[in-house]
Amino acid sequence: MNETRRTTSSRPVRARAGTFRWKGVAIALIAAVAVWFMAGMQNNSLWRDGYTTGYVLIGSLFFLAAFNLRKKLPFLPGIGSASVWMRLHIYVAFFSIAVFAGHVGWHVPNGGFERCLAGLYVLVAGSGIYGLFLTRRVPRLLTATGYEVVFEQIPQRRRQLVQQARSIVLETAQTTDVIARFYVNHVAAFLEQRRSLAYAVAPSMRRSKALVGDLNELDRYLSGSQRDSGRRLAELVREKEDLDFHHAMQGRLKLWLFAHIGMTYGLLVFSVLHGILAHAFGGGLR
Amino acid sequence: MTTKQVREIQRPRRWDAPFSPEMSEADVERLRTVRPFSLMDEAKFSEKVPLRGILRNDCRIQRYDAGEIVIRQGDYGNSAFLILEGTALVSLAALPPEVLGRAAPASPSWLKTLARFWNRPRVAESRPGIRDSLQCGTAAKGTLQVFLQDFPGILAADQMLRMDQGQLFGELSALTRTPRSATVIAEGPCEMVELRWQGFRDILRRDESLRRHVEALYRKHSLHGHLRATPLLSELSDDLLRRIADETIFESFGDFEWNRDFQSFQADDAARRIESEPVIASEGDRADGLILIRNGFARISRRHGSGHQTIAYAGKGQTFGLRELAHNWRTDGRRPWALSLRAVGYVDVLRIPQLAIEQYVLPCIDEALLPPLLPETEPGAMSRAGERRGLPREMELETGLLEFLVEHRLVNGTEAMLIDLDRCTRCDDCVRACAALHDNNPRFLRAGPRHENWMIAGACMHCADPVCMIGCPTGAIGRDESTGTVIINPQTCIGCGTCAASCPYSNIQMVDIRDSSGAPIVDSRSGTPVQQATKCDLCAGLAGGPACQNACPHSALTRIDLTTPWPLFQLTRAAGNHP
Amino acid sequence: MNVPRDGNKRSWNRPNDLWQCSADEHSSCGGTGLHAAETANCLPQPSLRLRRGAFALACTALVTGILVALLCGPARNDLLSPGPLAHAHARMLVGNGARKCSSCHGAGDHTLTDWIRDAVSSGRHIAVSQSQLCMDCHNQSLLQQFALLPHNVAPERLAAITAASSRGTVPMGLGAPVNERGELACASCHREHHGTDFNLAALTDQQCQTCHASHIHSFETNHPDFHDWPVVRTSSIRFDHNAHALKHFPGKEASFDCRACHVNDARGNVKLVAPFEISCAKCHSGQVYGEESSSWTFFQLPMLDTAALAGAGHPVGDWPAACEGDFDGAFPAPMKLLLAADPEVLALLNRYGPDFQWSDIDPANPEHLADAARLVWAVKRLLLALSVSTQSEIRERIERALGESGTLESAVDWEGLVLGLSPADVAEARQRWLPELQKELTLDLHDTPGEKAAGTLAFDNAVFGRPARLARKQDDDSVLAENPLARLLNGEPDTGPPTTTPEVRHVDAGSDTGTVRNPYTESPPVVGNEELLTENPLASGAPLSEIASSIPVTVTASRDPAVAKLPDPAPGGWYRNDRWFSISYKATRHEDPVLKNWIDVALRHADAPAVRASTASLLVADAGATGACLECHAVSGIEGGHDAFRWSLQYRDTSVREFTRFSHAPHDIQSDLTDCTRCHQLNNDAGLASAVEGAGEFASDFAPLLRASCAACHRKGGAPSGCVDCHNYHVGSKVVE
Repeated sequence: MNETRRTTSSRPVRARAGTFRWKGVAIALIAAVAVWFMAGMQNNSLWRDGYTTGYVLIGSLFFLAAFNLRKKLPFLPGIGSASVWMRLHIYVAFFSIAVFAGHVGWHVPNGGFERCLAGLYVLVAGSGIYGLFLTRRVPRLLTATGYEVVFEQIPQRRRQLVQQARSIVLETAQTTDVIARFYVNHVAAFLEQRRSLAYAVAPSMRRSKALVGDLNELDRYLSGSQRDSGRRLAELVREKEDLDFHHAMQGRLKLWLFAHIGMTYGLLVFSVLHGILAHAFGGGLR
Repeated sequence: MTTKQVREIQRPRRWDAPFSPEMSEADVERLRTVRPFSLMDEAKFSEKVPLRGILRNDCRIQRYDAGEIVIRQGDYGNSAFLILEGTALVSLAALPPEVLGRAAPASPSWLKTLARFWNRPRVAESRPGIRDSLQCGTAAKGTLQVFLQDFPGILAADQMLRMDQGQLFGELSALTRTPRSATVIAEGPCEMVELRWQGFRDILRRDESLRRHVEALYRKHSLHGHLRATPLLSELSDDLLRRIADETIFESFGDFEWNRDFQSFQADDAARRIESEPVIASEGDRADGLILIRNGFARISRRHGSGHQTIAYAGKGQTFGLRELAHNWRTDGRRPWALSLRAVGYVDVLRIPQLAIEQYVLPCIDEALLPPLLPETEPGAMSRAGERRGLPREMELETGLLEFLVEHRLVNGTEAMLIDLDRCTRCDDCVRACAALHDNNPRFLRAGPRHENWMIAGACMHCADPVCMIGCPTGAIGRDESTGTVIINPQTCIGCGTCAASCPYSNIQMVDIRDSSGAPIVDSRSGTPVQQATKCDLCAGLAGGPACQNACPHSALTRIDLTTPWPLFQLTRAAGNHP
Repeated sequence: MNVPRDGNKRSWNRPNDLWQCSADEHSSCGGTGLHAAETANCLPQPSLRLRRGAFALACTALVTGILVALLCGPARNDLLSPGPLAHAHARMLVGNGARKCSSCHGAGDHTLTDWIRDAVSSGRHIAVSQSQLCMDCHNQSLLQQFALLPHNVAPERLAAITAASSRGTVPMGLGAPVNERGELACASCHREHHGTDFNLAALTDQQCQTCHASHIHSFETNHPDFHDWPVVRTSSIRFDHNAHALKHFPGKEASFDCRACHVNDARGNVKLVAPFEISCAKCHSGQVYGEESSSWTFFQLPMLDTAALAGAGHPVGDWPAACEGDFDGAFPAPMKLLLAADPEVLALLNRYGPDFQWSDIDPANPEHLADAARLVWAVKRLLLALSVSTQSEIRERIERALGESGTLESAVDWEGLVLGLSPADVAEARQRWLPELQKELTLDLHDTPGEKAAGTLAFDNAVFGRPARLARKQDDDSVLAENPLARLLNGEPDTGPPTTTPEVRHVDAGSDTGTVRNPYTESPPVVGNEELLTENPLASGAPLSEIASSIPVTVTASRDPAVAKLPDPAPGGWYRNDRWFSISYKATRHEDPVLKNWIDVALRHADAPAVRASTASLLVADAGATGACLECHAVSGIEGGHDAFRWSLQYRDTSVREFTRFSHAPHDIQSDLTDCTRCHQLNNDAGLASAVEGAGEFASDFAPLLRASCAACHRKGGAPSGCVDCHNYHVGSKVVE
């Protein structure tokens, strides 16, 4: 009986959109070269090529910024999937970088205002490139941990860990104080406190590994059931490690977006004003 | 926390919302006079669910004019029909959708969606429109009313089957949650009683004769079509097919409500899990016939070391064992099953005896189309590669992934949410997009079973075999007739939690509903908060597919059909994760 | 993996919520505290998106705030400036910080709102345009009228030039950024704020070709050829380079070197011709005032048939016997001009036509005789008048004759006309020729011809017969002794500078060796003229020593006996010739004031009525020394309706910018160009006459200058060969040094 049920298999299987595409970037750069050529032609005809590249630039800036808007309105029809936007975002970004280079004439602008503007652009573009690297690299690191947690739920998961750990310790405390001591002296600090900034910058498993090792060392002072509690404690330590790693890495991704988007708006304000100035002081004829 | 003032309503229950409000006592009386209802013994029914109650609440009487379509092939019906008066025609051949007037899913205008997005409630799970007492929203005689002009012209006489008074049809879909297998048109003005499956199932459970009747019906009607639809048999003449049908054995394996013990089952050790799965065909046993999977899923495995290695899985409409049969027939050998077939959950199979195959089928197939002979090695010592050669190429999925899918019964999903963790930046844009379309209430969890870098997130998979629909007292959870999407109707959901409990993947959440002010809605009788079942509705009708998939910037998230490995295989290969 | 703690009872996490409840059980309450279990406590926390939103908002607000603050602050101008100005502008703006922008930008002292409105109104809001502000300062160097039009020339003129050039100028590509009035903004070429050393005037060849569509790839390849530029310019001096180079110079120790005569002007742009004294005098002083120069008759008594006159009852009174015979004798042009002042005489002359001569009088015709008598008396009155007051009389008569008293005031140098001719000299002539004249005219004895006849008999006949100059060559001393101005001359220091004042010379009758029997068969000045004309003044090429000594230091030189031996060059000045009863003049130097003035007076009135015209032309074409001027100087051009004598050469005016500019100076210093012939090649088969102004058909005696000869150096990789290296964009304005 042939069924007429829509299945995802009927959709075209996506190519690997996540990967970085030289072809697209090449096209973007070629387009940029075309813009340069256009500008050169205008310059030879005594036109101010700055306006052309400028408008192209500000146009692409707004397009790039619009990506955030698209994320906010996912239900608008025909605006294309976010992955397509992402790709365009990347290509247009490279395009704009090339056009920008042409716009400023390959040297640092002289004026204070324009210095700021260029600086802002470089910052945003730079953070974008860093983000490109980040979004390709971090997911694999996170996956490698084999652990998953939603960023927003990390704090409460932390608390749960602490609670679980404490309950384990308490139940062992009735029979032996080894684990309790060890917990108070070493584990508690690790489980109940946030990790240092250094860890956020360069996460390392040294501390947790050491703790787990030491916990295993305790076995020689523990009986069977107690050892089991030790294992469970070690398990919690490992999870805390993963949790912290996720917090650091996902946090890094989020923080990057903070910077990238935060500066974008400033850049937009700047460039709009720049455009107005360019017209007001353009020196054309009335 | 400050206690909010509380709004009280009557907790809805089964039959609060009858199938059709028009059903009167008179109608019930009338039904009691016709077969098979007249033969039923009310004593067999519990006083909680009396026969009259079922007839009153789970049945309705429908009238059709000549040429009007009663059920359409491919629709997901939740009800069975019984002809009271007049005759109806069953088309054996598939009719083109335009003839059936199949309407494209009505998508809400994006302006509406936008407006809804802007004034989305700040409160989670608020149900501003909720009435004091929920009632069934399904209108009398469904929205569909399509006529087939000069149907004799469209349907050749030999492709039609006439049914007259007292005939029961549509029961198959009602029982097995499968789409309608054929289209039924009213030949003349006729009157029918429609039973929704909850009621129908109750009746079957209590009434032996009807159950046998249903079985007989199946063999008579559906089986023929089913066999015809099987590629291997599609070429055979009706006569041969009928003979085969007569000899076909109708079996079912596993628990119809397998999902009940699925959770505990999961905790069990992998090896024993496989052992505990009912065997349909066991490796090494005599290959006694061709096995046709009619419904559900089966695991194809072979003995490996001291355990069983999953090589593939077979779904609805797939056959098993042709290779062995063909080999034996050609070489006149006695080769047993090279592989085992095990029921994953609940499986209906048709077993066509070896004799019938050798008699009617194999002679009609030319050599070239026959599968290759089995390699001349000792059974069990065959190289995996050798095994593989016999299998369709889409079966060549990484075993780990296969095991993973089958173990978790994920093969059930037609719209499973697959996330490639190697690309997912955990930005939660998918969740946000989802929430944006559902009054700021996300309908899935970005968490779930994972294998290596593949995660099946906690979103409704819209199963091929939607066990969640079993036991919904009001039919609030049902399939969209055109798309097959499983949707919960908030108007009729009474929050009994049956579906959520029966979903093996816990992708249905019971939530405490609130009014627009955020005050929790509690039952006036028990004073306990009223809940409702919520889950992914695949952004019903949203152009361009589900928002979650479109919202993923790195296209890490895909809604994928797992009932066959092919799409996943394509994806994994595209993702370069295939060895 | 966060497996929910209580199976299906877990709730969705809602990242969309701006507030998140971090209380373990209630991540779904969205911070509203709306938990199922009222006992649970809500721990609302701002969600990441809320924080990010706040952060972004803060950033934006901060940036905007800073910008607004800066735009309103005092440092605004320095911040907005996109870069340092070029030297000149920067220097100008030092100090006035507040006006820094607004002195060039209309928007400079406007507010942000104005800028925005200006931007959206595509530049209509802020009235004053930047180019106008440019003009406020650059109003000297540019023609304001067409300041912003292409090339600063009137559109019609540009159109004409465009039409003239066969290579059309249809703009290709984008075309120039002109507005509806076809104006270009200054800033489209002159781009500021590119650093102090940025060359604002820099213009690439492509940019020129914005309008000049016919693509000029490079100067050496396909730049249009020069149409016989620069030799198309005619010269007001008759100088035949060919003749000098090929005929006259060969054989002399002086080589024909361009640089001997052509020197740079102050700017080094133009080659000037060195003055006569340097360039020509060596050879040509002779023809101008040397012995080879002829004299110019100012006044002469005619030869009269006194008998016929008397017979016809028209006595002419006292008349030198030597002047009796058939009607004859020249009628010098100046005399005719002066006589024409008398309307009656004018009428008379008109009757006889422009080239009237005494010989036209028919003795048999009584009318003729009457007229002749009238003329004679007019001549006598003229002589008397001149003897009384020479200069004022001449002035008065000329003004009357030309009927423009007053208007000549400025134009004519009256002293110049008779410089050095004093009434006394004229009186002396009168005494010698017509001793009775004064009495006659005062007594008015017209009716006593007898006496006149008698008087005339007393005249010494022997004096006549030999020309004055020959006589003077015979015996200087006597001449000098009798020189009425001797005492004046003696008063001068011997080594005094050569006097430019012509003095009157008395020709002694005695020292005359007659060569010609009847002097009246032809008039000496005419002969002299003919001689001058027929014989090429340069052909004989007098020895340099002679030419040198011929500069009129005559008096001193002639007083020295030793020098007297030498063939004495005839010094210039006024001459009284008692043999021909004439007063004549001889040039004293180049640019002799007397002759120059008479020629100017004459040319001024070429448009006068018949006789005047004739007199004028006669005056110029006179066989006398004035003709010698014409030998080199061309009559040309029309100044205010009159023919003008271009005494000085006309040169390229490099003080006004033209489309093409050229300067000799930089080329002179090139070792291989010092000899001008690298570019200026003689065109050997060109005639002299044609190279002179006024002559109809022009043909230079130089070969046309070819682009190739420029391109030899001005090529890619060589000397600059860009458009703006030879061409100006701004045309018609004064060149600012």
